Amino acid sequence: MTLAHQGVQDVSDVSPLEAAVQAAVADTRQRAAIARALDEVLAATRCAVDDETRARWRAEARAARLEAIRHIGDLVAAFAAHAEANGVHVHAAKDAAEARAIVLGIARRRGAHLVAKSKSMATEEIRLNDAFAEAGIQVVETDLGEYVVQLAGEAPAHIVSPCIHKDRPAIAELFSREAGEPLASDTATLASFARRHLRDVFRRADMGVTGGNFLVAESGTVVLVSNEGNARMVSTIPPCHVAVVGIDKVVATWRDLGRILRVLALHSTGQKTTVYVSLVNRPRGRGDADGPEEVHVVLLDNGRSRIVGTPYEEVLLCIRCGACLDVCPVFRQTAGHAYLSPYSGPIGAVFTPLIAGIRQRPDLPFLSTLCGACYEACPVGIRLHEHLLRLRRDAVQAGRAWPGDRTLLRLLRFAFGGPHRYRLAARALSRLTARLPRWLPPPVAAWAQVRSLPRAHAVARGEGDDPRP
Amino acid sequence: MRVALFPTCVVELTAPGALAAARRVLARLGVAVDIPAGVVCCGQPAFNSGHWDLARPLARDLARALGGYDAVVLPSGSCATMCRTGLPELLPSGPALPPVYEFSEFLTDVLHLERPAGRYEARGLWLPSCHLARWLGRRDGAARLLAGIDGLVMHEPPHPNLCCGFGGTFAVHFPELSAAMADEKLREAEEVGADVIVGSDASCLVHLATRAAFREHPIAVLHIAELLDRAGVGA
Repeated sequence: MTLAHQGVQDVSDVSPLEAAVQAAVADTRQRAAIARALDEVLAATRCAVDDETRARWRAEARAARLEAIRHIGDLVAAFAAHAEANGVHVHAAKDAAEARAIVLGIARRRGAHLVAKSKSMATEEIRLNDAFAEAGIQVVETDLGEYVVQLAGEAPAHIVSPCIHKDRPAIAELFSREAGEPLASDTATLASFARRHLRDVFRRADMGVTGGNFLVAESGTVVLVSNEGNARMVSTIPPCHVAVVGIDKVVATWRDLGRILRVLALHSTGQKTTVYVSLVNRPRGRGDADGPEEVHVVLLDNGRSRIVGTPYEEVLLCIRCGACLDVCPVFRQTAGHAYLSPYSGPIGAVFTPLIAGIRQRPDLPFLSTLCGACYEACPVGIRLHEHLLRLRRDAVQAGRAWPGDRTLLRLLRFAFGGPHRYRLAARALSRLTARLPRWLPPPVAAWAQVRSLPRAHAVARGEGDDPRP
Repeated sequence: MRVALFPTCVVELTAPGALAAARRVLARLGVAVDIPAGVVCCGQPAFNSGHWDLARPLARDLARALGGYDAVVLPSGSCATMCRTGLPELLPSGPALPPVYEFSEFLTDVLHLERPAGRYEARGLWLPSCHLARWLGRRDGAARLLAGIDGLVMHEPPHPNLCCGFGGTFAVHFPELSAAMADEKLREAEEVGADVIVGSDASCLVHLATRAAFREHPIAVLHIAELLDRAGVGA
């Protein structure tokens, strides 16, 4: 392979996504922290069970999720009926604004000043913390990773591990600022600081807000999965508990739930089961020692039911295990913030444009090499690589192609249209790349920013090579 | 059996050595191939970027030019994927392609070649073709082809999930990110002590070679057809 060198040419006019990706890639300390954390997670998830068991568990989990999404309307209705019969207040929110209004309405009615929150992607999706802040209500995130990113003024960088992008010294720095004294950066010191601080929040909170990993239709149960126990504190200690849950989280039966929880633990952290599985069925009853007086469930649609019945319906099978993020070669370099969406990684690049509309986020499906590692890792077998490809087509059809692509591809379509033009184009390219001009067209300049330019060769098919049909 | 060799535009224009090597290896194994005149490009760049209308005429030209052959062999996992999964979607009412095989697949599946003898001194890092492995579910063929080569030590990538960062237009949409991904692959080569990265996709290899050259990194790249040719397979 012959290579020619070319000086760097400035490529300006970057989009917000490009700028965010550039910033993430430039942060070498963050990249080192992510790589370390991902390698640990991947090692744990790979050796947890043998391949045969894994394959069987995945098939059973996929079947359970398919069953749920196939009957999503009926199952959500059944969940709501059972939950209400248990004394839970069930609210339907068609979009983010409605969901925020419902939660704020409950908080105002109860005169809440302090809200304790456990990790929840649905509340990130509806930007609930911003709404609380605007209403003058203090919110404290109680998942250790979420607490870290909240102190840093950031959003979570990973669906399961919010502070995956921070190393321990960075966390020690944040906690030291909060503590008003320097703290050592060992895990025990940091965890015990957070524990002391957060116990007080659990006791004083007027309201607890959680997401919900699953909704069991046959009993009206909200299922909360965690490793730190904070979700259980948030849903039992404050006098009012509000769970904000996407309607896609519904499952038909307890049997199905078991099959799904098994792969969730395995694929997110390599555990056989998470440390806590909390089952919220009803508010405190007479004779109960603890539990909230009021329990509310906000069933969030926000674009989900629009996906049902389309070729993208399969995306709703997602159980938010984060496995596709962990294996993604793009995510490994950028972490989640670069996606400019609470949902990052391959699932974020698919789910975000689906719920927001492709016109809102036509850029995200392009943040992928279509390598398919996500599909291979997905415990419920979502063909993420194919959905990314089809969403690109949708973006183009919606008039939101990646800028510059069409010009380049039209040129290619012309130059490669037939053997004659192809030979001429190849000859021209070989001359151009043998002695490069000073100005390079934008895609070539972008290539040359970080690489040498490859030398192009003229077409040299042999004499007997062109048998005319 | 009439076999067509589809050079693929990337190999023909940027890695003609791999094309010539593929041809020599096939000839030594007793397979004479034609390169039909009308064969140019499968349309993958436009297809993968969402411009299916611009991919369709190229795909149609290709399908017409390959009509009448019993099999098609091509030295690229991603173009093989385009031919097998993309073309039927782009051209639902035809013309249909003959059976299409990536080069190493053709050797293992059609010629039933197992552990061919040969000699080539190198420590290699295998670069799996993401398309071949994950879109087509074919992943062990190349290892079987290389296992019998004397003097060759091949290493599987330490991180089997990591793509090299080429990704077609991705390489120019996100140059810094694409380069960071290539750098990770170069680090893997250092980690296993490889002096050459061997793969079945010239596009990925050109991306890695040009990144390495830009950084003045000493690693070399080699298409699997070139390796088998230099090892004297079939001789």
